Amino acid sequence: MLAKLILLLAVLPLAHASEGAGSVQTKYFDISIEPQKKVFAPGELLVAKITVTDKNTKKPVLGASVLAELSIYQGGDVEKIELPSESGVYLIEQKLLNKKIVAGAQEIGGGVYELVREVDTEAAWGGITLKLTVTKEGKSDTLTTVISFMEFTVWKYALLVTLAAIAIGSGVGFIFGGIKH
Amino acid sequence: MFEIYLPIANLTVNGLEVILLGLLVGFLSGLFGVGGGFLMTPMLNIIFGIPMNVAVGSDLTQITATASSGAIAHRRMGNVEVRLALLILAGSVFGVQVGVQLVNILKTRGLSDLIIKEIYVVMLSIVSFILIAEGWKARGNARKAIANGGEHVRDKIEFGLGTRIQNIKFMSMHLHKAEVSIPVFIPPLIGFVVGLLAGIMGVGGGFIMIPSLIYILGIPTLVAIGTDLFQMVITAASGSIGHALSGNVDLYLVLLILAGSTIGAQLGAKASRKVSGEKLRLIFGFMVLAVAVQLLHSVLKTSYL
Repeated sequence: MLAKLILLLAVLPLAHASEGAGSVQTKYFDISIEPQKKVFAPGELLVAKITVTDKNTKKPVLGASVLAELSIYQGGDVEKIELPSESGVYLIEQKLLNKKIVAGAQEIGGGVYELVREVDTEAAWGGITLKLTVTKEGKSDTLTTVISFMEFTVWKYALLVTLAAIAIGSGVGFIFGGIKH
Repeated sequence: MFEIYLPIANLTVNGLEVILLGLLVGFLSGLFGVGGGFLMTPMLNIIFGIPMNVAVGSDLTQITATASSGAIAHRRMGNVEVRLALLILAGSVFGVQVGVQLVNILKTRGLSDLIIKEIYVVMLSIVSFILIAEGWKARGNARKAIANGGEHVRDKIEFGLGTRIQNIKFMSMHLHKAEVSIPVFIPPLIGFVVGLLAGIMGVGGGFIMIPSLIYILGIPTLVAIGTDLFQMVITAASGSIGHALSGNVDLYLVLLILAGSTIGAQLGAKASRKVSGEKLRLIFGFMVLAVAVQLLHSVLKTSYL
């Protein structure tokens, strides 16, 4: 039984290997993303500074194209689309899980680029997957990170999830705690 | 079917698969008396593609729950050395916050996935080799003792460092449940190092703390497990709050893992009664090594392919 479990643990990740988190290692540029805040609010402006340096020379990279693809969680918001046809207009409703926005970052000097984009969402909380592509002279690197947004105070969320975890765990411990090892 | 969108990780997962992973890791953590984070965090990343910072934060929150559950059970069984747990905590609460800040720095540089995986490979390799070598030696000694007609004393740890530390008389303190005397300044140091790794790796630190308590301080296995779980509640809760404030905790992911792990942990605790201490450490060692090899494969693929 135990041997089978160990084997399963070893095989499971291989079965999903192609679905992994993707490459995090860049080839040409060192890219760092510094959002103005750790957690943004829905509708707020997401401001992030992106610093690009050359991997070999360690010098700031000037005049690069820095494109950001933001995938913002929408909380299953329903979008209505009108489709014209010969017999009239069809109204289609589709559930939006995330919205993809492409935005360019402006160079502010010294290899630093600034990305400013509204956190355009109807969801109360969720994540923004930020995929940055830096291109210069035919060389291109991509970096992905996740930034969160919340409508409510982050402290409340932090305390709520942690206290809920303690409460659930303690409850299970009190119920099954009599089991002798 | 069973597809669930995780708002903060911002991706879809098969909820049933996450619950099954929770059940499996929970079973193993109940069997070996550890939080299971060292297995869960890398697996969330490798299997489901969850960003490492979200996997780390969410797993630390679910560890708070499983540690609370285990700590209550072990306190009832008299396996918790409270004074030792408090001394460890004196170091671990600082260590975990330093770890959280390091993850945030790595996240801004887009290096959190790679660096955390590399630390995992090193730590898991060291722990697995110690466990396998010591477990193998202990099994051999037990067989010899039985072959020579002597009685096999179960779960006796033979490691020189523990004895040497117990012989330090400076600021020594006697622990009644563990029946050993140790210098009071060693547990906070162990706590800081384990807390630091817990904050970086999103683990309760049981897979490092338990071998440390057994091999460095000479604490009996069951008391080491109970004491570790007791201090882990506070350390993991502190790390959970820190990660949640940084937006690294996905509530849905936490609930999915908990649905499986709480049940799995109880089943594992039942199963642990049927296996000897030496055999448990040996199996545990091979399992940790399997995860280390998987991660090494992932690191090499990311860096060189």
